[in-house]
Amino acid sequence: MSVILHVEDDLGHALLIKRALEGLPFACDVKLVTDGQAAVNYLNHLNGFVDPISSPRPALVLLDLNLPKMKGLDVLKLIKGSKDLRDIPVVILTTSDSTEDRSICFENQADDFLTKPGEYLELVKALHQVAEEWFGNGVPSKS
Amino acid sequence: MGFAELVDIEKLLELFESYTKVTGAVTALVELDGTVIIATGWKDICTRFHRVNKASACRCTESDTMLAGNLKRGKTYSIYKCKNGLIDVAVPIKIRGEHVANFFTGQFFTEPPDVEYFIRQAEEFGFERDSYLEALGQVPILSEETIKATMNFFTCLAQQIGEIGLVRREQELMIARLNEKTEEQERFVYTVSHDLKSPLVTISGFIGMIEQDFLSGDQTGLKENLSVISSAARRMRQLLDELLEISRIGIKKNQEEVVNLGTLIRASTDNLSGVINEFKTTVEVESELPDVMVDKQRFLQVFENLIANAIRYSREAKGGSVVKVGVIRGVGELTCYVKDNGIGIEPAYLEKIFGLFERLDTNSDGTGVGLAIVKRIIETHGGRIWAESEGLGHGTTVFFTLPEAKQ
Repeated sequence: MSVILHVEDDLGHALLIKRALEGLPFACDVKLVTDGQAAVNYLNHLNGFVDPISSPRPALVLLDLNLPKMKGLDVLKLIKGSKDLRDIPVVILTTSDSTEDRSICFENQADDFLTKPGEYLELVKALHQVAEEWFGNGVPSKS
Repeated sequence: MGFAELVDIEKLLELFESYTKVTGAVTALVELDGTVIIATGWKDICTRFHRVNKASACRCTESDTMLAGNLKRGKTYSIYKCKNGLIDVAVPIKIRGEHVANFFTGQFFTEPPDVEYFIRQAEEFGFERDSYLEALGQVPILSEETIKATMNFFTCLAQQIGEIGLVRREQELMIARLNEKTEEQERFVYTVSHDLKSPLVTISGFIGMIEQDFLSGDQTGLKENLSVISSAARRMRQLLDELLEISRIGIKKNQEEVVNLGTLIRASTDNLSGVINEFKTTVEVESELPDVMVDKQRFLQVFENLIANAIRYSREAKGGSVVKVGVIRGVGELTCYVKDNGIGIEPAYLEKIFGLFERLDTNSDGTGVGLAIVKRIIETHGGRIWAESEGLGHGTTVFFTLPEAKQ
């Protein structure tokens, strides 16, 4: 079962996105962490995420930019700067629609940049596209 | 700042030189530290003889120092017969009452010179007699009127030019400050619109979700989803209210009045009695606190905010949460402090906490604008605010200064 690591401090947004991902044609487990430091700890199996069975390596990271304790951009840099982690696709999922933020994220090897749409159905569509792109192939569907 | 930095030296030099050309006057504009900014029309007898020979040059320095010294002591006019036989005059240049430079004129006689004296001087210093006497002949004999007029002209001129320079500098400073403020405001607007977007995404997203559920006949999550929407709307309202508060603080200030700090602090803890009891916090207020001259309503807000924060962030402290409030007396100012034994703040964040929308602990309430308001209030009273903490787990102290109340 593919795991998505969702890094998001706003619980309302987290709920929305979890719900939007439920309609996928294939199974995935969404793990939520609510700050940048926790995301790094999860990926490095530290501090409460030590057990690799309960904290499996994600097939995709959905990353918000405005996070407490460590900014999303710093988390991105850490992931893409690590030999071990850089292969994990990181999709920025943020309220920001600024071209500067977009450029900076791509400069730092983000795999995609998505501005959270206001309309629910658009959010569902966008997230499904993201999921299909990054692990739509060869993943067992719900049976 | 030196006089040379206030004025356009080249233009001033041009002016002085043309005056010298017309009148033959000698001028020198000298900084207070002795640096010669401008010198025109200096006579050969000084430049080729007196100031060149070591021994006679010493005498020149002596009279320079003497003149400058007199002006330093506040004399409005200083006239001196230099040790080499000529007359020097100095006048201070004041801009807005501040003594910024000195103007010198001199190298003249007020009556025909005693040639014998100068012949002896030539022998003493080994000057070539004929050329020395020729140079002597070039030294003008001026009436007191002429001298006074020259000095008057130059000091007025220098004053005017200095004043222009000062005004120009002030203008530059104001423009820089204005640009800073504009940038700050632009950042503010950006941050605000960005932070209002987030709850809006929640609201419209959840409305869409509820719609989908309704279409598929699923009512299970309805109640919860509706409450998420109202919380988000409430958050937006709170944010907007606090933003309005901040802008109001800068615009309108209530009358400042003399109020006792102790009374003020006790009033704020009374208002917080609910929270204090809930978290069983011990609040210790220093006794014998002084009077201050402040906007009473705003300062009530300051203490309520700081003490409430202290209580909230120390609610899990071992041995119970303790909040101490007091004052450190300084010179001309008071420093108030609110100290807690709570979770502390990492050094990297000590400044950030006073920024807008910065919240370090997502589990606590408040939209994160409280400290920004407090900072604004303190600053409009002419004080500064900062926080100190030895790090996580070591508590925090917030300090702010207030100018001492005028009795």
